[in-house]
Amino acid sequence: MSQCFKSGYRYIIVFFSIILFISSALNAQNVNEDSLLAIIKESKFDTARIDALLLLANYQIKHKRDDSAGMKTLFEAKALSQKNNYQHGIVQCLLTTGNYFRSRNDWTKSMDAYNEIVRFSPQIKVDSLKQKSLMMVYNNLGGIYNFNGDFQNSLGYRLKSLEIVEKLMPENFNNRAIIYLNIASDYRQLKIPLKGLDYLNKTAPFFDKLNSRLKMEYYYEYYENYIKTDSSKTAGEMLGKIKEGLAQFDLSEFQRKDYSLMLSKLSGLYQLTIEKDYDAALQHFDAALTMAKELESNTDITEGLYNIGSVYLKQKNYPQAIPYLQTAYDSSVNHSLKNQSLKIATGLAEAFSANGNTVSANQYLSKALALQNEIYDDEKSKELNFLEAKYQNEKKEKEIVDLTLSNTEQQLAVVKRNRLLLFGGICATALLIILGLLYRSIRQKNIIAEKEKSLKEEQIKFLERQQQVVSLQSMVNGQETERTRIAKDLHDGLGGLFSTIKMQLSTLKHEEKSLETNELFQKSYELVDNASVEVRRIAHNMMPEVLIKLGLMQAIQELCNSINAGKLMSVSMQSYGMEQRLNASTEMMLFRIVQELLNNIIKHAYASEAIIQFNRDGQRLSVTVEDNGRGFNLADNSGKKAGLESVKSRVNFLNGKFSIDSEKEIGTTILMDFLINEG
Amino acid sequence: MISILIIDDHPLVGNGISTMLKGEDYLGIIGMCKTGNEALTFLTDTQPEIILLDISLPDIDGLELCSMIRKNNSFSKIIGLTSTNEAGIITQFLSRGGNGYLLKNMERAELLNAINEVMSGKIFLSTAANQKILEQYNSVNHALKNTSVLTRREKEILQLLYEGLNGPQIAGRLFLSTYTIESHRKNLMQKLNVNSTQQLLKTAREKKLL
Repeated sequence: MSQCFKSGYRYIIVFFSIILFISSALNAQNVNEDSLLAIIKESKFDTARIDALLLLANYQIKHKRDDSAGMKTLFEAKALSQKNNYQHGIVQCLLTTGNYFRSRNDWTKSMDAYNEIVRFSPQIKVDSLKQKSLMMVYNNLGGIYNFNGDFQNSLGYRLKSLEIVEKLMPENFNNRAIIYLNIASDYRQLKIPLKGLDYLNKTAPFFDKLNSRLKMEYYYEYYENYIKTDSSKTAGEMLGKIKEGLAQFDLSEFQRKDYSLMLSKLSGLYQLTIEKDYDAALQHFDAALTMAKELESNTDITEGLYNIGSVYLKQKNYPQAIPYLQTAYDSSVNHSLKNQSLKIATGLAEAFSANGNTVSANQYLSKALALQNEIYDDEKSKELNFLEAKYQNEKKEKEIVDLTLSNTEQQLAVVKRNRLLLFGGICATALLIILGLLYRSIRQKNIIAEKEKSLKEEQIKFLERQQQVVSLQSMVNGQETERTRIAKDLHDGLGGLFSTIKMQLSTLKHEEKSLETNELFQKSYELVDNASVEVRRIAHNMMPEVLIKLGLMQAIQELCNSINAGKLMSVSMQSYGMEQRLNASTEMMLFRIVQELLNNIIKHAYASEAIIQFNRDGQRLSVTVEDNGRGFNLADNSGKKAGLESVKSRVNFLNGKFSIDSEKEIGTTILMDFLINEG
Repeated sequence: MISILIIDDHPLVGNGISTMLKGEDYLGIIGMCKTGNEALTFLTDTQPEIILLDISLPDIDGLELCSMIRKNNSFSKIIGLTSTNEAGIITQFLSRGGNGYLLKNMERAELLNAINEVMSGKIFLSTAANQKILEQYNSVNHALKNTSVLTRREKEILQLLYEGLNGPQIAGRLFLSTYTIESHRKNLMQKLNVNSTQQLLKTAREKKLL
């Protein structure tokens, strides 16, 4: 599904909070770390300190790229905001958190932060802050869905955001334009470009008032939508607009380069596919390649080379096309740009086969096939990751709706009661006692009803949560449970049977001394022995008892022992902060991960040594597996990758981060980080 | 006569053992229990000289049961009788008061030998169990002697930190993400038990890791 946004995808415009909110004495443009630190240290006003902390966090994350320091600062700011009930600050912190995780593709955490704002919003006293933050949250949530190819839901969020902005801040032209633009992009990707154009046109009355960057983004979106509605002539006009904009608008150095790259690329494609003027296309693509090199963008350099190659391909000029495509292919492989590799490999196969070189054509075809599988696997695991986040998000959304519903109900009840009291006051003289009685009985009924209601709600919530836990765990644990069951059956059932047979035979041998020289008996005796050892070995591989009884550390140690006993490679284990056991399913997963990695090393790495290292510090668990083997090319599609994919999906299940680096003839280091949510 | 109690949930195993012991008149099986709780009840008023204990029982974990028996009974010799041959389990069993460890696919002679050895106050390990313990010893010993405290990557990062590079610079140099470098750095700090990069470098120099 995520294939479709690959082409015609540029930016998802997200609201970055800082610039829009803070208008105090601090100037966001010239952040000076020292002056911020001074404010944090010396200011008498907590709000000023919070603002400064926020700016500092932003600076640390975006400019210093020191994530952990930034998150720490952010955390501090949030705690201080909560202490002072400084609502600006709380919203700001959550938005920044959401944006941060969004930029790291950590969908669950990002959506969590955004949803916290939605949940918090009814408490926000200043209405403009409330509406503005909701508008941003919905737009940004939409961005996450759009990025993951779910345009339907993305559109839903954007429309929510639009409702707020149109109703409450129609004068905020830039914000309105951003949302219209995002909606247009959703519609285009939902293959309804006419609707997309409708939304783009909504900015017509105030288009002149927009900032330069937005105007450029609009031209781009117009271009894509016109192309999709087969209005190529109008689309061509948009290219002219972009060119004009480049000459006239006030753009930053980077933006200028970025947009001229975009323009050359689009113009090239336009000439190639619509005007069929190949020489003009070549000129544009050449310009794009030069600009890409200047911007040091590997994706665009590869794209540029490919585009030039494909023009030659169109002209049937194979000797020219092949070297360009080959350079493009190498570049895509070097930078692990798999989607591009696939496209280029297909092009190369076409060029070689047209040129009569069937051997090379076949080679590239099989490369393309392999890449396709690999991309499919990658996308699947990405999709799985997102689906999980989406599932959690929907769950939380439902909870929020439930909460608001019960709040309104409560409010209604209060209003009702007040009216009753007023009425009672007017007619007090005569009916006081009767009314009093009536009131009491109603109240009691209400209390009972309310209690029942809240009890039921709690039950429902509990059930929902239980179901959620069960469905997730069964997904993760299903396989392991099955293995444990089979291992136990083998161990206890078949294993016990074999042991008993051997015991009987051993007794028989003792009683009938003549059997000791009977060859047939001796053979059978040995076979039974082998069989019982084999059953035990299989059961052990499926589920080592030591893992269940004594935990992960001892189980990994045992794994090392048996590898070391084989003398092919020596493995050592180090552990820090692992005194406490993890929960059983996490241990099982981690064991499988390490087992798989060691298997890979033995099979492929030709290493003489390997180290396994566990570091746990509070909730953070880091696992390192390093070998001194021959290493491999990360972009290479060797058998090794297959093993790694299953490791990666296990790491994903544990919500972990997987990183691998490998150097030829020096070795490979794999680092996995997990967040452990238990005591 | 030496009295023997068998604790095993598999009925066939009990039968197999009694067949094996047939003809050895100095040995007598005085009871067979299928669960840990059954065994604890049995042991409240009887103290057999030998207890053959399976460590995978349906109710109580065998290692735990060994500790529980040993708490009130220092007389009986407890021999683990299992099909699990793992060093961790063997050492745990012995440290919880077990006297011997046998694997279920034993020979008749091995069982008799085990009973005689533990009765004379020795610890008995079957050949295969002995082998496992030895493997663990060698493996740990080799690791202690030959493996350095730091991984190759950690050494590289430590060296670059020492040269004054920061996280992002190291990331650029090694073609890794800042996040990965940060993880390695945190691991380094935990391993050397320090709280800051300064201390890390200082300790590393003291320990001659640089």
